[in-house]
Amino acid sequence: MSARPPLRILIVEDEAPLAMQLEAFLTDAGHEVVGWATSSSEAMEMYQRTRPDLAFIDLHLADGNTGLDVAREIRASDHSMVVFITANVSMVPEDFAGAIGVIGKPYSLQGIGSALKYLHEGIVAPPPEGVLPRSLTLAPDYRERWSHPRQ
Amino acid sequence: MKSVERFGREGVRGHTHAFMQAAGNAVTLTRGHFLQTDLHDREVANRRLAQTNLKLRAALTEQQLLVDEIDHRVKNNLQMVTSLIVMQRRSSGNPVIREALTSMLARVEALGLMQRRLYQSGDLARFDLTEFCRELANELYAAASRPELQLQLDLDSVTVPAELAPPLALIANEIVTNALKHAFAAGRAGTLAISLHQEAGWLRLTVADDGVGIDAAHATDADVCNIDGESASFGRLLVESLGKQLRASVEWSHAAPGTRVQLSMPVANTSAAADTR
Repeated sequence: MSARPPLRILIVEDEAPLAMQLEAFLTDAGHEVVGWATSSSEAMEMYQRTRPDLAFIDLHLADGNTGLDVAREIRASDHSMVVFITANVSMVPEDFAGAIGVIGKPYSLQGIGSALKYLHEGIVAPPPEGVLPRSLTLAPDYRERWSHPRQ
Repeated sequence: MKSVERFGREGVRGHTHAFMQAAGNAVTLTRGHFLQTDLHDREVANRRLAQTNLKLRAALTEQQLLVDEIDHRVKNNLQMVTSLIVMQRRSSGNPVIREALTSMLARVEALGLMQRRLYQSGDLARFDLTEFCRELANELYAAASRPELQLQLDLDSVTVPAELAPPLALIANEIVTNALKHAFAAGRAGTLAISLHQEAGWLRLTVADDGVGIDAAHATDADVCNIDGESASFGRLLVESLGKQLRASVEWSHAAPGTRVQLSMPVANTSAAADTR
């Protein structure tokens, strides 16, 4: 863990084992998980209440393919950053719904670890110092702002 | 009067024929009722052709959606398996069990990377072994956190039929992981060289290290895998079995210093697999 302040993170994921593992991983890395939501309504309620620095959002939630709507709504408030974590990377729209980028499932521990480190650097003090890890695909506007050669 | 060219009912057989007629030059007739009959036949055939095309397009779209859905589920399930292994490992206080779960996690993650790369390429029939090896090696090397070690990659551009991807992914994971884990004592500098070549009818994947050598490495491996009295190296057994499945040879040899593992497979094997699809 670097000297950077830890991130407050919201997990929006409908599969319990995946959310459990992600929460454990983020906590072990020194960050604070402010909540775990399984549906869009739960996600928005938690978002309003916790105002996290970052939300990891799956595209498919308990109430259907509503992850994009959650992302757009969160980004409209311009308070929190969003990163998608999904097995359906091709369903992320061209504008990434305002998200920083997407991490494709299945990801490895090493993959999510390097993506988290890069995101941490970029969110706390942009642009990130490290190179863009293969596990993270940036949205076009972030690619421009955070551009570094790929790992 | 115009010249005569009659499309008899007998000549209109199926959509293809009708389409060719409809796409041909303008038809000229001598008698009015022939014109009406022929135009009617062609209109019917064209309508049927359009309907068939619509149905085919819909079937194709549906098939693509099904493939996407299966891909999505496979990836999600693989992520689920890795999550369960990670959580189980996290809750275990037994170092031997933790070690075994770490090895299992690496195997499932290698399959996950394989699945991701297979669908990423857009060609479901072929697997880009080169890019897989590059990403796997970089990931395992980074995960090892051994900056004193050097990773050297020398990879030809090689693709194989998709059905060979799982055994090749598991073998590559096993031999690279094994080298990173056992070849170099803590703090010892060294080089791990991975090469992939396809030449003279052979595909060869080689992992060579300049570490402690094969005997010392195996002694360590057997100790690590000694769970419930099972003393054989599961990793090595897995590699040999997968090699047999691929009809490939896997040789472990002294590299003086270090160890060299080479998988050799006739390129014909990969073509034969493609032909039986």
